[in-house]
Amino acid sequence: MGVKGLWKLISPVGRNVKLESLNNKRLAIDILYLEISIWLYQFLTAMRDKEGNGLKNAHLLGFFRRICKLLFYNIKPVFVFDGGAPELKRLTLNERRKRRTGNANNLQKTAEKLLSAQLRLHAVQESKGSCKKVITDDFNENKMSNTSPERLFSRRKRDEYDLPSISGGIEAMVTKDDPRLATEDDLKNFIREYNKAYIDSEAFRSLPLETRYEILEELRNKSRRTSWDRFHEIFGMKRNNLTQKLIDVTSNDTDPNNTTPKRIVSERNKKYVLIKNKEGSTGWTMSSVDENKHENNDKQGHTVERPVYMESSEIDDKNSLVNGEDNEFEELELPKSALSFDNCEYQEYKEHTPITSDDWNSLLLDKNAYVEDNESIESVIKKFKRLESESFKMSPNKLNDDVSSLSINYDDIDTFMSMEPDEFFAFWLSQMSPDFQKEYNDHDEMLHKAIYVWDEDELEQQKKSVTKKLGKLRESDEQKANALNFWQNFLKVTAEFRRINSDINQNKDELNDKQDLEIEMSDSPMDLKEQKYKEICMRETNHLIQKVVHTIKKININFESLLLPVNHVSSYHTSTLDVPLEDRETVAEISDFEEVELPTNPIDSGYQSTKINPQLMATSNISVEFSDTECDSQTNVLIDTLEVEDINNISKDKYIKISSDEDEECSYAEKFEPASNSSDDEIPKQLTEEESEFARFLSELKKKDLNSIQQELNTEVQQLNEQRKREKRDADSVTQTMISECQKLLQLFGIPYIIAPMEAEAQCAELLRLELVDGIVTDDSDVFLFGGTRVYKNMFNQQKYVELYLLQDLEQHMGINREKLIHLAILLGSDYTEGLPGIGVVSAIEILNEFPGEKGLEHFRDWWLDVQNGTSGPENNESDFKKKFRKKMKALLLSKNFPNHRIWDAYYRPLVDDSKVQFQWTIPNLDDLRDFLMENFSWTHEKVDETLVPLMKTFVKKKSEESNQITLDGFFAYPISSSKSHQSTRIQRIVDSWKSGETYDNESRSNDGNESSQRRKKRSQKKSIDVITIDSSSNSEQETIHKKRKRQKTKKRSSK
Amino acid sequence: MFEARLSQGSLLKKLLEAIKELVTDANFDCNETGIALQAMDNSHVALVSLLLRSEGFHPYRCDRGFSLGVNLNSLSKILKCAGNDDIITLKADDNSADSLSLCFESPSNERVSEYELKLMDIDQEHLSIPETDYDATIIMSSAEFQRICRDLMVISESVSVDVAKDAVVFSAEGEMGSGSVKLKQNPSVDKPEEQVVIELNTSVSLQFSLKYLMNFTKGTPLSDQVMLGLSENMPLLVEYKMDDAGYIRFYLAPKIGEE
Repeated sequence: MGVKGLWKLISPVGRNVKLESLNNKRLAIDILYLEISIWLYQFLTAMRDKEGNGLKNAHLLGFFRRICKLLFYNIKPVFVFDGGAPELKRLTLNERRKRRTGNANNLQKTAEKLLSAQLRLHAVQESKGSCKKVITDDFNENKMSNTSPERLFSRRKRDEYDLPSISGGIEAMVTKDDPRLATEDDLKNFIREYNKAYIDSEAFRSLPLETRYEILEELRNKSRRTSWDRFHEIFGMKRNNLTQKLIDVTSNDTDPNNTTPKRIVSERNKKYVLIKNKEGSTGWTMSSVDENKHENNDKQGHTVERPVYMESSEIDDKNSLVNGEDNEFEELELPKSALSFDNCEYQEYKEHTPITSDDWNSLLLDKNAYVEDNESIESVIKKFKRLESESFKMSPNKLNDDVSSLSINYDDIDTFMSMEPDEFFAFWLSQMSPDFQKEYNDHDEMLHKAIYVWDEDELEQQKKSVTKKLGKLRESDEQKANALNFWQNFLKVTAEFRRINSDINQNKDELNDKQDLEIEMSDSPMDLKEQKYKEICMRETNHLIQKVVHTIKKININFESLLLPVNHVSSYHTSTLDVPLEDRETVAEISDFEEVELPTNPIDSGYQSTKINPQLMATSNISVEFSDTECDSQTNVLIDTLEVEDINNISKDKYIKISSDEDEECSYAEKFEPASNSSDDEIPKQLTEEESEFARFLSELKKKDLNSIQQELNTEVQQLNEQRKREKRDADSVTQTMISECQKLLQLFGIPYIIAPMEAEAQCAELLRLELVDGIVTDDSDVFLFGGTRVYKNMFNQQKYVELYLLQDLEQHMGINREKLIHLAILLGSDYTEGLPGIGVVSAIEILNEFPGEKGLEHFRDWWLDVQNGTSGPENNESDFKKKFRKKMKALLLSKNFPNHRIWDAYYRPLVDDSKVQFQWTIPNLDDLRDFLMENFSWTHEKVDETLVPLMKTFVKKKSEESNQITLDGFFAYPISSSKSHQSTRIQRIVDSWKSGETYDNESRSNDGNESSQRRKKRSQKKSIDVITIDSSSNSEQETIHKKRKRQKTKKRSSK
Repeated sequence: MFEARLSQGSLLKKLLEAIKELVTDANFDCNETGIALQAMDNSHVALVSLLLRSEGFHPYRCDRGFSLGVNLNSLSKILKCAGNDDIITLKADDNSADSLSLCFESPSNERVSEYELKLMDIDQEHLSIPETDYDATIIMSSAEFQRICRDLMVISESVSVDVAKDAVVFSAEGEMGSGSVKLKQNPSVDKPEEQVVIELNTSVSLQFSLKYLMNFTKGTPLSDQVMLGLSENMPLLVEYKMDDAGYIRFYLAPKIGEE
């Protein structure tokens, strides 16, 4: 951006300006927006959190503050946005973009490195139980602080198309069988699974006809294909069933008078069509168009299929329908009322089905049979529906009860598992439903038996019998049903409980064995104990390890269930402790075994277990703690368990984040609020403060519980983080949205802005030329080249003074004019040209000095080409500079068309809007601003007022008071008093010569030969003349002072 | 070596009172001819130019020109420690001036107090102010000028000054109403405090901020008479002459435009 190194070159002529003196000035503020908006770019760079992530709306916030600042000083800004980039600029920009994409790639790499470093760090930390607590606390703080910005955002104004956010992301919303998101394959699979059980269900019946048809067709086809399946289905009469259903589906809801053939199934070479009988009867004929064989097939299939009926827990509506046809309506009631069949009914069923199927088939083939049957089917359906609705009416209660009790059971199942049998019994006693009590007088005894006496087989039997009874129940007998339901549930849970209990008992036994061993060992001294223990273990490894591996899985399951109640049901703590304590001890041993088996250091094993499973990690940690402290007291263990809970939470949620970076995360969340409060200059301060605070915190942490490895890793992580930050910052770019948001903000503030046809700087210069503004605010030195004469730099840089550069000063004090500036740009590189490699400000100035004038660069080129071709004159006559330049810049290649004339054109005749319409400023629109700020920064009404109302007051006051107050600047010319000199003495020498010898240059342009030596002579003459004139004209006091200064300066100069 | 002994200590005190409201930091430029100060206020609306000629001091010694960067508030505070009749001596090392020493002697020479004021490095612009012939110059009682400003401040923030052949009219218009003060030419030689002298080339009408004028009138104690110089669309000059000791000049940019 701008001419490289130009600012530095002209810095001596910069005047420090107080912002107050800009009161009421109209300033054109240049915003470039192709990639390098200096302004916006600065925000993006500055307003970053620790991680290098840009803050949301950071650009707007920065923009807002800057506008506030301008308004406070009663400056009338005109914002100038870039329109487009001229071709020349685009070329150079492309070069830059290339550089930037390289950066993005680096970013990715750094991120990878960072992750791995963090993982390593994490691993080391994990192994240390002691440091966990600290991190846990941190994490909780994080959570706390994280909530506040979220809360703030919720206050945001809703977009009318804004949908409520999905909790847990879109993945959470999509269940596995969401039809909306299913692919064709998914659907097919679904249909395939949608077999046996479902076709008879109510849900299936509620499907649209087409879907039902599709499913049935699929199933039916499938049933023909594989022989193994077929073998089953033959016995299950499945296909028959399906065929019947198909017919039902196709005939259902169709107009009986419709005579068009209905396709039932079509495959390659096969087509089944159901044709209405033409004789005026209402029967239907199913005919296979291609192969009549099929009918026989079907028939045969049915006959074979008949004998056995597979056990199915669902009600088969259709079969019962068929039963209905056989005038066995009374049978219907039974299956309806129960949720599941019991065995005897199956038996009954089996007896009926052969007949019905036979009948059905015969009916199917007998056209005449349809006449009466059709009616009966209808009536059957009616009846069936009625029955069904009744049963449904009744069943909801039951169902609900059932479901709720079941859900309770499943929720509590973990709880039960961790109970002792006594507690378990007590719990169920309290849960017993009154129905159950009424139904069974010996309820207490039954429960007791179930828990203590019966073995698993018995329980199983009981369960079965209950199911049977339940099935046999009539719908009227609600009480009994409830009681049975309860009993059933109870039995289920008890069975589960017993199973786990037995596991625990097994563990206990094992544990006892080991405890015996331990008792033995405890006699021996501590050091020996370990060894001995190991030895014993080694002996037993073959036997035990395998067992242990088994048990560890079981125990893990137990453990999970144990940890939950610890968290949720505090009342069970005492009861749970008995079991878990022992469990954990077993685990302790197990992990010890592991250590023996894999004799690595504890850190590694800890790490391994961590990686495998957070749960395992927890257990191993406990084991470490156990073996370390040997504390057996229950309370301690309880605390440990809770700790482990926390650690687990962390490791699950923020597995990677557990390292020190977590703190950075937290500081980001915290920062958002205070950052928006503070004014511009506080931001960097805050950043650094927080940084140091964080460093202090880290060091504390290190002292406490991190070893040298961790320190190393930490620094590595930090370094990588910094690198990433840097790279990320460089890769961001200004987007169109940002620009339009900024424009919106400007509108609300009543500040005019224009979008330049091309370059913003050029437009700014034009505005100044047209006297529509009083100055240009930019940090882009290009503006001088476009003819900007009054440039304010560092306007928004609080660290520096605002500096005013006048082109006039450049000319007077440095002898640099616009032409020279453009030449400089060509040599040094700017937005329009890459410049010459290896040429810096000093050499560029020297070249300009050596080859002055409009055609200077052409002369330079000619000379250089001559030099390279070896056609130049003898070296001896040349100036020192030329000699040096020859030596230094051997590699420099100049093309024939070196000074690209398009660059001149681009600077002298940029595309600008030369409308002379005066700008208008209006008073900020407070109401809309409030809305805008609330939307974008989530500022509350009060906060906006806090910021804006005082600003508005001063703004309005100043406007009324001082709108017509002009300043003295226009009346008294003030020369630059500063005696600042250039850092480079070479530049200083040349600049001084230009300053004093402008006219001289013009005179002596013609004689090229020994120009420089002449010039030097003349320069010294000039100097002395200068001094004399000043001395002679010392009238006023002011001038005397100046004279003094100049004298000092000349002294300096001559000393050089 | 710089040394300046001022027999009328009160003069310095009054000077500081006059300018410290307008400017906070300024350079005292010292050379053989005297001490000069030039500074603009922050908003570049007003400028103060002060000169204390070497003749005003007994003795005055300045070998070479140099600047004393002073925080005027601090200097004013130190000067408050001096009695009105005290003799004030200023001393500084002109080679490496990092502090200004002030010595207050009571007239009876019984009490001598010494203070040192730390200096600052102030980067200040020097305006070259051309000596202009004003379209209208008014010489009037400084107290009268102060009163007019104070009175019209009640009405408005700004005052317009219309100078005609034989009279000058200060008028103000505000929300609550308007007011004006007309002073007729009164070349009475007997009572210089009532004297009003108007020298006019062309009639002038200008508007100024009363806030600044009020600040200028802090220089009233320095002189009985004030000189106002006005030219169309030029800054106003308000000059208080301190006999032969020097002067203090205030420049004020006019208000222009629709209002």
